[in-house]
Amino acid sequence: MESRRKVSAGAVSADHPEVFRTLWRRALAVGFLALGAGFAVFPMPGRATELSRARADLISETQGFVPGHTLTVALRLTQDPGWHTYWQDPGDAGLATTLDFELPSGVQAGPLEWPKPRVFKSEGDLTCYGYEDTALILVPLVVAQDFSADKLTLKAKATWLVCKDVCLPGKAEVQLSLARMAADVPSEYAQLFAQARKTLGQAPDGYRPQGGAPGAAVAQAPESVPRGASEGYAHLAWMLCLAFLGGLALNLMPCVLPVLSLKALGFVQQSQQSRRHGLALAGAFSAGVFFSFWVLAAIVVAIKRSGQAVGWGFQFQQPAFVLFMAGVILVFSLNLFGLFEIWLPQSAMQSLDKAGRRRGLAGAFGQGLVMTLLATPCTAPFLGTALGFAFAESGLVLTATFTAVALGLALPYLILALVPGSHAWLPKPGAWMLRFKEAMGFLLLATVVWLLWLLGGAAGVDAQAWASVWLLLLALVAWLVGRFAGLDRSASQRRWVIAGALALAGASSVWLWPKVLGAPAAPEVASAGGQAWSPEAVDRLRAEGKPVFVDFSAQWCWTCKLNEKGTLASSAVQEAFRSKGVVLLKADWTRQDPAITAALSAHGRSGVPMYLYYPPHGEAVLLPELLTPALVLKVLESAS
Amino acid sequence: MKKVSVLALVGALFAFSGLGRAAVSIGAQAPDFSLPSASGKTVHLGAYKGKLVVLEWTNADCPFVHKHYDSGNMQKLQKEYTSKGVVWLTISSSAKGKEGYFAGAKEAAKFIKDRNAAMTALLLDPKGVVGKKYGAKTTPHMFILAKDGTLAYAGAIDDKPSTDAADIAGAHNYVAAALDELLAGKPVSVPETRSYGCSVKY
Repeated sequence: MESRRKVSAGAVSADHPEVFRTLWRRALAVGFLALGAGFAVFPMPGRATELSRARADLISETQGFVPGHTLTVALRLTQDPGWHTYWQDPGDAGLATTLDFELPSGVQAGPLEWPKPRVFKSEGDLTCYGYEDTALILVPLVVAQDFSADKLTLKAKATWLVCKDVCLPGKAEVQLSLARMAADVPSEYAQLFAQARKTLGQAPDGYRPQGGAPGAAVAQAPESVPRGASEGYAHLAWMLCLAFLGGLALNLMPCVLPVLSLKALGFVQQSQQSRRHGLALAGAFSAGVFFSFWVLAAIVVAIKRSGQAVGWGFQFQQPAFVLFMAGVILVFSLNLFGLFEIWLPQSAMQSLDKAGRRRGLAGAFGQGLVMTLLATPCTAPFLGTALGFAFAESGLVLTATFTAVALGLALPYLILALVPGSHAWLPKPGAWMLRFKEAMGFLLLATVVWLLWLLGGAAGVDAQAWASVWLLLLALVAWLVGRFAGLDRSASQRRWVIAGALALAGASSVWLWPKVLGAPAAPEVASAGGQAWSPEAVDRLRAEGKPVFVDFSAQWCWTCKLNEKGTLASSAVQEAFRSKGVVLLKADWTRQDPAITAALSAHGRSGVPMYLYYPPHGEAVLLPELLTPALVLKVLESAS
Repeated sequence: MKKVSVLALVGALFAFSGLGRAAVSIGAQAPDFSLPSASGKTVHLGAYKGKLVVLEWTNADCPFVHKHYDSGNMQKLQKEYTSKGVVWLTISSSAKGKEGYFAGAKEAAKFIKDRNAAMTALLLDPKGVVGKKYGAKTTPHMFILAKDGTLAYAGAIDDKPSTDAADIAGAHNYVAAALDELLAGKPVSVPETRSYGCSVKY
């Protein structure tokens, strides 16, 4: 067709060059139109229309296929910049990419394998999970040993949703033909596959599975959850109690008790004039105390929330958090022993003092603020410790904890104003206050010992030893600051010593933290044993009539280890398992295998531990999170 | 004054910390609201106490909303249940400039007319206050309030999450099932499902 056009164009060109050019352009235009129409009517395999924002094709890890080997192929979605497609759990909105194969006999497809997705957040606190630029979803295909054909043609239908500010559904029919080969030879895409394999099966940062798939019913609270809720309340009540007692105890600290005595006299005088006025003043004073603690709580909650956007909240449940807390609490205990002092800048103290001098209720409020701030050198260790443990809790729990401490701290003032003559009960300040402070230091040290024990259980004896070395260096840093950067030294010397101390602390952390956290996990004590869990294994064993006990745990889960070493490894439980022929399966959620996540949420749980017992006949029994041998034996008895 | 600024800071910090935000749980009293509607009048939820109320979050251009409106499925549900005395409120929480935003009552009325929709009222929530109160995440996202004002159902419209209208016929419609149960005085057998759709464009 083109040659004919050329001839005719050539015949014309000699006489009329402009006409030739116009004809040539027209020919090109018609040609392209025809080609475009052809593409629209007969889409090329593996290529969706260019306007769909994402193009799909099927690629293979190897150049050909080998009968008897597993062939890994992948759906590749190439997306326009700024557009994303979704992970198998799309999140709050969106739609997961699907891939359905049409395979010749002798070839079987395994489940889709997804690399770790990105987190997309949008206005209204909506979180979705997916991929930008290129999404690669792997599929293992098992080719039978006796597959005889020389060519393997794979056909698949892919559907997806690609979104930016708006969403466009997409679909394509993709196809791939591979030749038979004698050995696996990497294809040009092998690098892409290797990259994807690095994060295959990993959940996105901060992933919280919802209780069901999109369009499916959300698992309603199972039997054990009401108990869990009351356990939660008991735990909260316990924490608030401790916080309140801590606040009360703070009144005996050297920074606080003298102030209390002075104030006591003041309130007594006011109450003698007018009981109501005395009460009002005490109330205003307490309000000042509460206010300071609420400001602190608000700051902490704001930090927590900003961190959560980055995914901190989740990370803090790991051994790193335990190590960090051990260091912080050790430093605080050294402060209580008197190795170094915490002081407030002069300017802050002066301005607050001014606030406290005003008369009446406003003055009392200001005095409350001042008192709390002045007490910081003594209260910081306890507040810091409480904060560390409460940090993982919700904003509401954090505020409640701080309020409980404030209540404990302010209570004596309220009693002084309410109960006439109570000021006689006040202990007289003296050297005993310092001894009391030092004794509190030992309480904190005991906490460090407990944290090291937890660390050892989770990360091993070597990690524990390296952690102790780090704590030793921290103590050295504290001593340096205390002895050489005290207020009696010159400002420049203080600056140098503190800078050097911080450098030393930083360097030792950089050197030692990887040693502690990188250490291989403690070898599994031959306690529970157990085969690896999978839904197929459960079905197979149940079909054989065997009772199955499934232990859902993770390497960083200490409740799990407690249950495994304490209950599941106990002779009573082991004997019961043996005599009843119970098969123990372990589901290791350390890397957050999505199959295990799905199983957890199917039973209304969002984390480990979880224990399921499948009796020979009947429904699965969900056990509570904290096991005892008696409990397990009872479940085994009653269910069979 | 220093005190005022500190108070403001604390207030801001608390607001930022989102201490007060939570979606509604099944069985809890649904939050009351007043919103302007496509007819120009203001609609107050409290006025419908004693009736079953359906809240349907929508976004005119979302492919999932298209699935249910282009096929006539949503209109069919609206007609059927409003004729049985159910109040059907469709709400758009799309913010200004985002997909699905209605600039005013006229645009919203056009949406109703073009799609031949039969909801009781189409409400405009461009600031997203009501959407966030209810925890509306997708379009569509369906909520059903019982006659006493408590939340009886929250979640997806049906059990086939897709943009393909062909899936509607074979899907189990949670909203129709729940409304049938409530109209018969029975408890809702599936009170909560995970919704599917485009994200609400707050």
